[in-house]
Amino acid sequence: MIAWIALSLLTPLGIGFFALSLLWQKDERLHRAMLLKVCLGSGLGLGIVSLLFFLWLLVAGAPGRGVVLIEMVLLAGLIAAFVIRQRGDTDDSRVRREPSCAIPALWLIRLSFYFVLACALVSFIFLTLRTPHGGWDAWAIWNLRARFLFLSGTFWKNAFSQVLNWSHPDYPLLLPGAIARCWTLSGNNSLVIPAVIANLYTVATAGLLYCSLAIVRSRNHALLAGLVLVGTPLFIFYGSSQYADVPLSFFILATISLFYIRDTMCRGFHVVCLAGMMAGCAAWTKDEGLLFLIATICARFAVTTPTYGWKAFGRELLAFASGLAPLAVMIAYFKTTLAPPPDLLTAHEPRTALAYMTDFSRYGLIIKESFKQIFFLGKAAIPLVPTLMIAALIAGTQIRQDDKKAVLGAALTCCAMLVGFFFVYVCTPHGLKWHLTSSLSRLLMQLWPSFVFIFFLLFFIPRNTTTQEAPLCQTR
Amino acid sequence: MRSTSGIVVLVASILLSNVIWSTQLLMDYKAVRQSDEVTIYEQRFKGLKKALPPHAVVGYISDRPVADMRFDSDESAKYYIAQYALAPILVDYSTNHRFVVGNFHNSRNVHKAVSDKPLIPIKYFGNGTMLFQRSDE
Repeated sequence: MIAWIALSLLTPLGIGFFALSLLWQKDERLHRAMLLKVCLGSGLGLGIVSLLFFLWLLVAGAPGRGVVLIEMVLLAGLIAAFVIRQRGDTDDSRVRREPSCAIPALWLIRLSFYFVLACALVSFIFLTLRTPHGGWDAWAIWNLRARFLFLSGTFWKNAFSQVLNWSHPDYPLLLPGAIARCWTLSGNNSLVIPAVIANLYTVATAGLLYCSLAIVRSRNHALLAGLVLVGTPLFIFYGSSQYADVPLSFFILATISLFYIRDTMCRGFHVVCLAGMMAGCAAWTKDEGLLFLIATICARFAVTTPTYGWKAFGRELLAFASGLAPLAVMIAYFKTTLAPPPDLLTAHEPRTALAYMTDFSRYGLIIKESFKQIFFLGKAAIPLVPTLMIAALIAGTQIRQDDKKAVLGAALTCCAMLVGFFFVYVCTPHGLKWHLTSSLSRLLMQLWPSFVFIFFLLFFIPRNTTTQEAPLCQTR
Repeated sequence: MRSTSGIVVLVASILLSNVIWSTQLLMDYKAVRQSDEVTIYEQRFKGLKKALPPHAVVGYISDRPVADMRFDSDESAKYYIAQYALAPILVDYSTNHRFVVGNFHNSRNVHKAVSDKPLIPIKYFGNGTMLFQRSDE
């Protein structure tokens, strides 16, 4: 059984890594980019195998270990293609390392980072042991769905029964699919699997934040950002609670950071295609991912079109859609044939939603609760957002002229998400106060890693100009 | 100098927050040794789950039936956890099924809960879990 558990977790990592490597240009110095690929690949790989498992259910009619054969064929094909490409590739792109910074007591930052990382790991394990089935949303939605997919055999569609309408059977299936697939391969619904997958996404999100900032800024920016994210109690709490919000935050950060890398370091469309895959995985994780998809396209339009024109935006959209397409097709199929309509759309009449939009007391309540939640975001003993603002006021901010549009694109995407959340709350059929207090902190936590990324793009740390290397990939 | 000061403020705040949070968490170490509610429910419903076919759709009754579960988080939590424990059996919050699962936390409430319903007790599985059958089926 242990061998099957190991296989069920290593295969997606391999699939994700080699799929990514095929899309990524060859680097001379792979070290930092390698870690980035591992982090991106682990999340992407689980998304791919979740999709394959769902396809298997549709075609075979019941879960079965045969799905591993398909995964093995896919993995073998990706490895073969990667090896062939490595031999024929003459690209001489090199990883750029931002000049390291010469601040005193750098050792203190590193020590603090490792200390906070150790605290986070211990807390994660402790919280997992305390609630092995996860938090409310885990056992009421994600793990419940996974149980039905795994245990029902040919009756797997019972997972979307109206009897379970309280558990959001319309929610997408990345997490339940990945969990049910691992259970299918291991032969039993062990509590270890959802806990390990939750841990993997939590670690991958922190790793992705570190790697992407190390590439686009410096290792010191990366360490500080990692310290902030891993030192956010609510991030660790939601991660260990096996909620889908941390996997979603991973895919949101992946999309935003890939577009940033694309805007500042590589003009190639392969990165955009990859961003499309990540955005598709976000939509396959939670319904907020669909909102993120729309937000991303709108933000990219706002940033790309004024500078490069309609045609450039059209080409970028095409590349984005090429990565998104397989996931979009499955999501559309799932939403139209299996998933019941979402409760936010069906619970009341459109007239009521329109009436809510003109009720400005709702706007006031949402704004007031939002400020409160943002101030205390993360549930740290010393509020994080004010701390970051004060640190930025003291240290200062810096942004290169060339990077302004890229930062704007990232920030616009997050802002568009917030605007989307705002209007969902305005129109919510549920009690507004209850809906805000029960969900707003989770929604904000979905954007938290991206906010930390954007913050440290701007945070000023002085540079040591003694080292310089060439770009990550060739500028086109 | 300013940059260093900003970094020191940031690092010190996060370190302190983490020490406080980790300490608070670990002081609750006894919670790790106790079973959480979901694990307890899994144990409670183990016997009942074995007695039912895996794809059954059953009803549900408890100590304190409520008209609208949206406004009773305690009662709804018990029902949701029961569904999770019994999956892949579908548990409908209704007694209009051939078989009905009973979830009672006080055995004295059983008679009161079923007195106005056409339910015949089939088996008591211990820990307040019972299986009923509708007498009109």
